[in-house]
Amino acid sequence: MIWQLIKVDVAWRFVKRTAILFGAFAAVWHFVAHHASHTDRSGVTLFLMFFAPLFSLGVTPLVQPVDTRFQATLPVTVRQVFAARMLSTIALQWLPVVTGAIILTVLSGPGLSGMPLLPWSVVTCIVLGIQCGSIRGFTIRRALAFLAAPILLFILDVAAVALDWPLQNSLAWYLAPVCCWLLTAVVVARTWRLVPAYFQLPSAEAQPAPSAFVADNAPSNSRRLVFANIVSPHPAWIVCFVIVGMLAASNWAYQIGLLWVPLGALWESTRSKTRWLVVLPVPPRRLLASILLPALLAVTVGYELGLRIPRIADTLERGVVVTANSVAKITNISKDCKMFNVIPPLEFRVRAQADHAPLIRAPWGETFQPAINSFYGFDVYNPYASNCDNSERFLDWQFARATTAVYGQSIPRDLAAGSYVVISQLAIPRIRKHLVTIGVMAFCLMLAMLATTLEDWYRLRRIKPVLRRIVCLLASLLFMVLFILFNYLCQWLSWALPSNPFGALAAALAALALIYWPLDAMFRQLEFEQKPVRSRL
Amino acid sequence: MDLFVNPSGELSLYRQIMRQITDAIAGGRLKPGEKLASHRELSEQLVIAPLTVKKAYDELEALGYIETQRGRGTFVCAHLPRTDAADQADQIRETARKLLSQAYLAGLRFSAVEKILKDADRELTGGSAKNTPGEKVKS
Amino acid sequence: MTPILKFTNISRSYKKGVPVLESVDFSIAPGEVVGLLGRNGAGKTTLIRIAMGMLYSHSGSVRVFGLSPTEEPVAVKKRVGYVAEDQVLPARLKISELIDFHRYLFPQWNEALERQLLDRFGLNTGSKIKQLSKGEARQVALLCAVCHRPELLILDEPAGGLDPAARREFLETSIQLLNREGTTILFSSHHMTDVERIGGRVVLLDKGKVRLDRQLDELRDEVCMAMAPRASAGSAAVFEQMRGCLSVRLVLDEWHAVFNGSPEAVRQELRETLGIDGIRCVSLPLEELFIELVGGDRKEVVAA
Repeated sequence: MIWQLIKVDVAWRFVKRTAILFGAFAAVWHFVAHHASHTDRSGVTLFLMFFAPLFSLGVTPLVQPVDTRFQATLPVTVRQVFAARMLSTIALQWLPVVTGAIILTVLSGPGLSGMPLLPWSVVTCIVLGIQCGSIRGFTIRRALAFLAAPILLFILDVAAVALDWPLQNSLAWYLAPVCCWLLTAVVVARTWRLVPAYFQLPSAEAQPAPSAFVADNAPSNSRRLVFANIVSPHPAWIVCFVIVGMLAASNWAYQIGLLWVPLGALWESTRSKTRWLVVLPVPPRRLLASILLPALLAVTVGYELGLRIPRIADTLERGVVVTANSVAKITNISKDCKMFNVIPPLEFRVRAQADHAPLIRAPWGETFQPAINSFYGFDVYNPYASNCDNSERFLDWQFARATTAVYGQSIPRDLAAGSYVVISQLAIPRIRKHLVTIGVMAFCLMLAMLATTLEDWYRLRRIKPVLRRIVCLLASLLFMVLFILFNYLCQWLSWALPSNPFGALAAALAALALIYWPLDAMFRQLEFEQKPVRSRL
Repeated sequence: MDLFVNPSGELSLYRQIMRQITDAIAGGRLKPGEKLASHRELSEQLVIAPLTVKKAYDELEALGYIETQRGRGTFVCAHLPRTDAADQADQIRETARKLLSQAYLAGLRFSAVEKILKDADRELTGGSAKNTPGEKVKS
Repeated sequence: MTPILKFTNISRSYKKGVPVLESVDFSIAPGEVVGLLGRNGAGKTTLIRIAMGMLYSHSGSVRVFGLSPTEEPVAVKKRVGYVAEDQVLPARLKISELIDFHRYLFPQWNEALERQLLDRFGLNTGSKIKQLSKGEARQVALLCAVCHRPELLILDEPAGGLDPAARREFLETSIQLLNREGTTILFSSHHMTDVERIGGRVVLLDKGKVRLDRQLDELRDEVCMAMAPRASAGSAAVFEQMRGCLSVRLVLDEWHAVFNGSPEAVRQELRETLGIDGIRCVSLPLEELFIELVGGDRKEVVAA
């Protein structure tokens, strides 16, 4: 009986599709990530971790109460339904991730140490807790659920990861997830005992008595506001976009792939909310803009915020770094030489025009020949470099030059702090980098929109549903490739584009126009066939 | 005047209207020269299509019962179409014979039929036989 | 005169071999009232959605006011009012906000009509749409569709699920619009009495094809059904071969055959073909005609 209930549970119905998606993503990751020099597999599972909870939270707690109303008429007990729901939620959390991890292992070889158990368990426990709450009839106000959930998850995720790495291989690393699971088991058991034998649906909300007919002569809001009010995304999804934007500023920039989740959900809720608009003379372009622009704005805001929050910003981009040991890997100099090097953010490296970099010459005659490294396929050199042979004076001079270039003013360095010194003041990239990153995010956003709405395009609707799904899957995979290469793309573009901001802007706009044109054309040709879905937001 | 239509009835709607108007004229409830409701008013009152009303009025006009005066409305004709009363009398005799035969077969006596006829007359004329437009016919 | 709505050879299939619409071809002149009838799943809603540009036809074309609704959606929708049974209005908005929104989209809004309808329906404009009952929500939808003086009104089972009083109000409003603005109306409905009241033309769809396209008056006067005993004909083919036969079906112990023509003419023809005199021929109300033409066969039930 429970198995039958699981089969019809909404979470279970998504397991197959999600597992395939994650498996495909893992495979794509494997083949593409080499070029982007992301070999961090825990990053992958982190990415996957984000998907499933957002998904489960998006789908299950809102749809399952509707299912409850139907199941209440069937000859099943509440406990059976409860058990079925718990099991299918756990399946939705774990099966797809395990699939992805297995595929990665098969492709990249064993070594699944990259699968952080603690954060994963935390996330699962939260979702199960919410399920318990929902079956006992606690209805969280939807808006609150959607607003709080992603923020909470994000914070917990980050905290868990932050704890995970230092704790690795210690006893605590094994104990913590076990404690998590125990806590969940306690909550589940308690709910099991407290759950009533028979369904009791909450009584319908008391309809407010219609007051006497009063002509509402209040002047209407500005017409634009009315329109925006109707189609604007729910605040919860805006938060998701902001978070994704913040990630774009961070070391986990490839998590820009998460853009797809809120966008997909946004489109779903928009589609149901705006089905009534289809019969009104609303230009499709305006509808598209009302979906994309708030998302783009939110992502931009998130990005700008992320650049200014210390922990989030990319280590490579955090600021001017003076480092001792790590340089050895980059410049192939023997480890005995205790040298110091000045490493500015990546965008301050200069492309080499000839076979070797130009000689750096200090005013008093000291020279240094920087080596040429390959970053993202470009030959670049560091104009603020120094090495063992150079004096401390040279180092100071380079440091002063570097900080002037990055921060606009010279900052004295303090070697006493240790083997490496990091300027705590965050380096905000120059306008060009901003434009490039935001441009790429806009491109990703529009591409995600294209992939999401592709299913409704009328030409596709004529082919068999199976074929249609395959096409959409391929489009999504293409999109995922872009995510993985996000950093690469941003950096490549920022070097390849003309050096002045206006040139960069022009090129960015041209590229955006290139993706916007098919999106706009396709958006006009969507079909709205299905019965309207009750809006979940 | 009160009209009533039954969309699922045996006759089409416009014929029902025609029948009721001719009945009313016959019973004297609609007097010659009396103004009828306009297409629009009647269609909104009865909740039927205006074209249906128009069709009924057109047919009645063709038969000579009503006439439309431009700008003023539709009126019952002052002089109703002169049909040959003698011919009609033959048909009516035939109908009467059928009616009595049907009634006797059903077990009704002549007095019952008379009562039925009186009731029908009351319905048509609304109470006063003086309203009927006809003349006395020598039987 | 250019037709307001013109379907040319519209076909659409759900998947290969399962047609939803097949070569549907008809047009609607300005000021006409056309009722689209058919069983559930005959393709009425699909046809209406194609007219609104919500769906694409796999072959053929549709023109509304001479424009294509998929290529010039805004120009078309500005002149069309649409009410459907499965319409979902935005739940969070208040009625007044929704009306404001429509006022913004349609510059030719008729304030007097809006006030009259609000009065007649007795709606509180401050209440949210999710608090309304089905009938009230439908009334709001009708108000929004009608107050901007559309040239074409498209109604997709607008009275579906409404109580008789609400249905009557709907009809009254439509007829009022017909009278005062000369709006063209295309509607689909299952309530045959409403269809008979509002009159006009009837297009009957059967499994995606146009089965009948006649004026309603003609249907009553010039179509009749003959009821012949089962023994009078060996098979349905006997009737189908006769001139003017629209449909034949066996209902328990009788053949029900629908013919073009007056009852006397049909009786005469039957006398000649079958050799039987005095076969009952009746003219049909629309509901019975519908069942005869597109209903299923009712064979005799063998007693257990």
